[in-house]
Formats: sequence, C-alpha cells, structure tokens
Amino acid sequence: MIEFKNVGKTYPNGVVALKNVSLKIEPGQFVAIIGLSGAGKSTLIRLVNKMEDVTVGSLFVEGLNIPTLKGKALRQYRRRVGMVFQSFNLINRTTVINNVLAARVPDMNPISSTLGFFSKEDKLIALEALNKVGILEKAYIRADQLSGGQQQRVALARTLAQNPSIILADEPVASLDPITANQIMSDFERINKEENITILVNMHHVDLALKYASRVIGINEGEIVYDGNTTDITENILKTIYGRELTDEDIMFKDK
Amino acid sequence: MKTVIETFNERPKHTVRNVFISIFLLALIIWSSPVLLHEQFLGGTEIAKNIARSFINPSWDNLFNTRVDGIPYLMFQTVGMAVLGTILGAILSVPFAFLTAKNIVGKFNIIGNTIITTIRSFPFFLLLLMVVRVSGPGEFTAVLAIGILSIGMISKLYIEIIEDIDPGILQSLDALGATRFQKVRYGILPQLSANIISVVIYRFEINVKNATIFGIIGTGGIGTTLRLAMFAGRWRDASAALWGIIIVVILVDYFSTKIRKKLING
Amino acid sequence: MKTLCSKISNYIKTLVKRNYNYRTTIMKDGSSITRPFSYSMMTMVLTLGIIIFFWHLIITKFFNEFGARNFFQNIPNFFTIIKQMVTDVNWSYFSNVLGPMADTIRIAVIGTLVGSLIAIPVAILASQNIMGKSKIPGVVKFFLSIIRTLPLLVYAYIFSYIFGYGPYAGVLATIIFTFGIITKMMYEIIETTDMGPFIAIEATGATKIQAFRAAVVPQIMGRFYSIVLYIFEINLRASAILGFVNAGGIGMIMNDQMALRAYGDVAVMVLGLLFVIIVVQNISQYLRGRLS
Repeated sequence: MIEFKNVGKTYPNGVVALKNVSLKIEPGQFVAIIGLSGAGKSTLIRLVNKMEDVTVGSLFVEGLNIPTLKGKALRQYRRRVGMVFQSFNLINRTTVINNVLAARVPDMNPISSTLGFFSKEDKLIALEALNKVGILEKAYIRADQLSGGQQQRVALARTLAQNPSIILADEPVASLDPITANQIMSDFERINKEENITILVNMHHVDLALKYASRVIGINEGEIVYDGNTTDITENILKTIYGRELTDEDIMFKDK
Repeated sequence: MKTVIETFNERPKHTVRNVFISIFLLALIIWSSPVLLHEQFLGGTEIAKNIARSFINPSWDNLFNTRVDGIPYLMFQTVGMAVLGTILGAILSVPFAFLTAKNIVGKFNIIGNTIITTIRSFPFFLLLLMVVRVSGPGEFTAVLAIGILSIGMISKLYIEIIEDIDPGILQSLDALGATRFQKVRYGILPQLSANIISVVIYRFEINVKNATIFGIIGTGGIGTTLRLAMFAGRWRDASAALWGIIIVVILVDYFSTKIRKKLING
Repeated sequence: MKTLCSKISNYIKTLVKRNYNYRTTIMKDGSSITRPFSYSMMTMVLTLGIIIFFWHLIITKFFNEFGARNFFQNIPNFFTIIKQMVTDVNWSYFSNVLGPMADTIRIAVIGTLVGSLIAIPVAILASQNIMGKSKIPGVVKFFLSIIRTLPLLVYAYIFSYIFGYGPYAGVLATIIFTFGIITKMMYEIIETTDMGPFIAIEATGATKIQAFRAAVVPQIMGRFYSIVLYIFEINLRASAILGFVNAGGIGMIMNDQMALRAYGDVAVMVLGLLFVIIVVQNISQYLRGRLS
C-alpha cells in the first residue's frame, strides 16, 4: 500500500511542485494521474521510488518509510518497484533479451553480474516476461530495430522481470501513435488484472486515462483536486483539474 | 557599379603577409639544409647494394621454418608483445580516466590531464630505456613500455565516454536498484563497447610497429633479429626479417580494417 | 562407402539438431524461441585463447627467467628515475642540448618538405579519377602500401648502416615516411573530390595537368597545407627518437646520457623537447584553424 501524508515537494530553485498531498493507494489498483504539464504529476510518481525526495510530509510504501531509505536498503526497495519511462531508456546496441536481463542484475552475485553470466532461471524469467507482453519472437533482435511500441513493451518486460509489486509509468505512451498507445495501455490493464500489480500511471491524454484506469487522481498546480473513480468523472471536474476547456493536446483519439 | 578592372585592382592583397611568410620559410629551409650534407659514405654503397640485392632474395629458410629463431615464430612474438601491451594499456587507462574526468574530479582533472599529455609527448624510446632499468632488456619490458604508452590514447577515449554519458539508461538502471558499478557495466559499456574496441584495435596497430622498433634495441621479436643480422652483415637474414615485418604489418592492417568496418556497421 | 557417408551425414544432422535444441527455450504456454547462433561468443572465446597463449609465451617465460622477486624489487627504480628527472634537472647541460635539438628540428623540416613535395605528383598518379582508365594508380598504390608498412625507425636504422651515423640517415627515413603517408592521404582526398569542374575544363581543350591545376588544386590546397603541418608535428616527435638508432638529433645524446645514468641531463633534454613540441603545436593549431 502506498500512503502519502501531507506531502510537499519544493525544488532547490524554489519551484513548489506539490503541496499538501495526502492519498492512499491499495494494492492491486490501477491509478491514473492526470493534469496539465508541470502540474506535478511526474514529481508525484517519482517520489514513490525516491527518484525525487520529499520536502515535507511522510511517505510510506508497504510499511517502509521511504524518505529514510538509502544505500542498500533503497536499492532493495527499488527492486520491488518497476518504472517505465516515456523515452523507453533501453540499451539500444544490444539485444532485447539483454535489456530485460539487466533487471536481474541487482540480485546476482558480483562475479556473475560483472561477467554477464546469467543463470538459466534468469534467462527463463526474462523470456517469460517478454512472452507476457507478446514479443517473445523479438528476444534476440537488437533493441533499436524495434518499433516504438515494441520498445516500450521491452521496457515493460524489463519491469516484469523484477517481479515487482508496484509499477510506475511516467508518460509511457506520450511518444507513441494512438493505436500503439492503446495497445500499451491495454498491456498495463492486463498485467494489473493477471499479476495483481499496483499500477500508477501519469499521463496527459485524458481519454486513455479514463478508458483504462479504475481510479483517477487529478492534479492542478501541485494539489490534488480530484481523487475518485473513473466512472464519476464529469466534464466540470475535468475543467477543475485542467483549469480550462480541454484541447486537442489532451485527447489521444481526436475523431470523437 | 564598379568595373571589372576596378574590382580586380581592389581584390584583397596580402602581399606583406605573404612576403613575410615566404622569407620565414626560406630562412627555415636554408637553416635546415646542412642535414643534407654528407661527407663520406663509409663504404655504404657496398652495403646498400648488398641490402638491395638481398631484399629481392631474402633468407628463404628463415622465412618459412618454425624454429624458435624462425621468422614466423618471431612474428608471433612481436604481435604477442603488442597484444599484451595493448591490453595492459586498456586496463591501466581505466583508473587514469576516472581520475581525470571532469564530472568525477571536477577541477582536479588538471593533474590527470598533465600526466596524460606528458605521456603522449614523451619520447617513447626514452620510456623504454627507463623500463629496461626495471626488468632488463626483454620481451616483457616491451610489453610494459607499450602498455604505458598506450595510456595516452586510450584514457583520452575513456574520458570522452565518461564525460558524455546518456542519463536516460542510467535512470532506468537506478530505478530498478542497480549499484553504481552495475550501472556502468550494463548502462554505459554496452553502448560504447564497439567504439572502445575500435580505438583499441587502432592503438594495437600502432603498438605492433612499436614492438618492432623496440626490438631493434634488443627487447626481442623481429626487431632484435634484424639488429643481430645487420650487425653481423648477414644481409639475407636481415631482409628476411624486413619481409617478416612487412607481412605482419600488412596482415594486421587488413584484419583490423575489416573488424573496424564490421563494428561500425553493427 | 555409401553407408559411411550416410552415417556421417546423420551424425552431423544430430549435432545440428542438438545445437538447435540447446539454443531453444520453451515457454510455459507452449510458445518457443530459438537464440541465433552467436559469432560474438565464438570470437570472445577465441580472443581469450589468444591472450592466454601469448601470456604463456611471454610473461611466464619472463618470470621464469628474470624472477618475480627481482622484478618487484626493481619497480622502485622506475620511480626513482622519474623523481631524479623532476628534481635534479641539470640546467648547465642546456648548452650541449642546443646543437642536437637544432638537428632534430632540421630533420623534421627537410624531411617534411621534401617528402610532401615528392608526394604531390605521385598522389596524382595514384588517383584513379584523374588517370582515367589507366592501370598506373593500382600499381602505385600497391608499392605505396609496401613502403608504408615499414616503420620510420626501421628505415632510419637501415640507413644508418648505409649512410653512416648522423642526421643524413634520419632525413632520408623521414622523407620516405612523409612521402608514404602524405601521398596516401592526398590520393584519398583527390579521389573523393568533385570531378565536375575537372571534366568541364578538360572539355575546353586543356591537358590533364592544366585541368588539375585549375579545377582540383583550389579544392584541396587548404587540406594539403593542413596535412603537411600535422605531419610536421609528428615528424618532430619522431625526430627526437631517431637518435636512438644513431640517425641523428637529440636522441643520440639522450641515449648516451641514459647509459651514463645522468638523469638530470636527460631531464633537460626532455624539457627542451617538450618546449619545442608545445610551441610548434600551438603555432600549427593556429595555422590549421586559419586554413579551414
């Protein structure tokens, strides 16, 4: 369970990214965070795996006090939290399976990890993860020869190979075309239901968020202005979150 | 509207500058020309004829046998010195590079920079003589000297790599809990292994030539054979050694170009 | 005979099948994936093998003959030498350095000059696009590649036998080296130059040489001067070492003083050399900047 209590985040240059954020996320939920660019969505997600630090307030995940984690304890915690990025962040020059295997590295002994000797189980885990996202046949192909959607799937497989309890996604479909974006979001949905992994996605395409997530958190200028079920969202609520009428930028499928 | 003639007359003329440069160059050349003066030939024409003749007719036996003093074995030895020396250089360069990269030591990089520049401009033969004081005149000495000299080029490469790291892949390794070492091993190295190997192979080519040259003062390999043969007036053996060098360099050149082309094309 | 052939082919087939199965993994849901045969694994093992072979050849032989203890005891010598060179610089020796240093510079100047002058016509002869259908470029390139295989110092060493000790041998060797490398660089440039203007001028009735002078030379002049300066820098550094094979320059006295263990004198020479190199480097950098 993820629990924020009165969390605030101010950057060293004075920018207040988040203020007074309190929320509880139960295990197994599929949560989408929406709002304007710069509203604080990305910051919120990155606080969970301590890629950013909390300035005030407390943050507990599965009983652990996140701001106090450092060194080995922090690395061990991060094993359980997978992260998917907008720009995929794959190792382009090597094969797909090597990318996924990178997720197994922190659990290996120093000699094997330095020499790159992966055990049979590790390789199987990696292949199963690729199979789960439907690109098993690309396992031995160089990562940069895949399409954008396929690359994001590799990134997703990489997080699955960690066997995480939570997956964070920071604008995972912003670089993809509408059809591929749909596919990736439905991958997230499937993983959330089949593996019972908590999914926390931040995105600026409202229609996709509403279509796949079960819970929506709206952020406006660093504060939570809406926290509830997808089904209860109305146009007025969206206006409060965005502070304006929705534009084409905020919708993925524009032929509505 | 200027006429053609006016434009031609007004073209930028650097007469003064050109005159100065010409005078300077002429003076430099005249000052340097004494090196072309040569008194006697010390019976050199005889030697020259011998060398030329034996070049076309080297010691065929030496060239093709597999004895310890046969050319093929010596070729192996020379290449071996270069291989080990290059690897030594690649390994030694790692700490040097890390201690000279701006994003690791900040302003202190000037120490490392000075050391590396000194290594690059140091007369390389002198370094060999200094190493001879440690391990005597032998193949191992050549390996050490080659290794130390390679630091110049290879650590420069490493430094460029370290200073231009792509943060994206490092972020994702961070997010899954990798240590700093693992981040370098899995995030940085795979991207750049092709580049690293390319430079190392290039340095290897240079080192093969250096290994030959070092041999001339006695550190083993083909170079020493050449020296012994020349000294004893065994011209045909000497030319066999020369052909050995030619063949080695051609082969090394060919394979290294091939490998480097493959690396670029992925 | 026939049964033997079929037995062998069957065996090879089983080997291939076994290798295929080894590379194949079957997933929980039945789908399977086969890893492609990896040449890079093979090359890595091969490289490792080569390294181990050479290690045995050279390093174990060394430790057997010289002795590990001997070696480790001698390591401090290296650092003592460096320390002596840094602390006991013998400035009074400087006057002895000037003469040989001048020789070193002279060797580099004449060597670069003559070498690059000879390189121009030969580079033209070696460029296929200027020579048309002639076979000459192929022959020229072939001989060039052989000339370029021998390192500078090997030439210098051999010349020291023919022409005696002293800078003359060094100059000749430098000329050959410079010639070899500049010709190569120049024909590579010429062969990738735009031939349009050249053909156009030839079409007006000019000879090949005239067309070359008019159309190609302006395009490559800048790069030529740049290359010559660059090679001059290289020749200067190489010149300093020619003396170790008795081909003249500061290397000769460096060799003598090293043998006498007069590290202070050696230090003065190295400093003088470094000074000249740095000055030349800066001038060269400035000029090359202006050329582009």
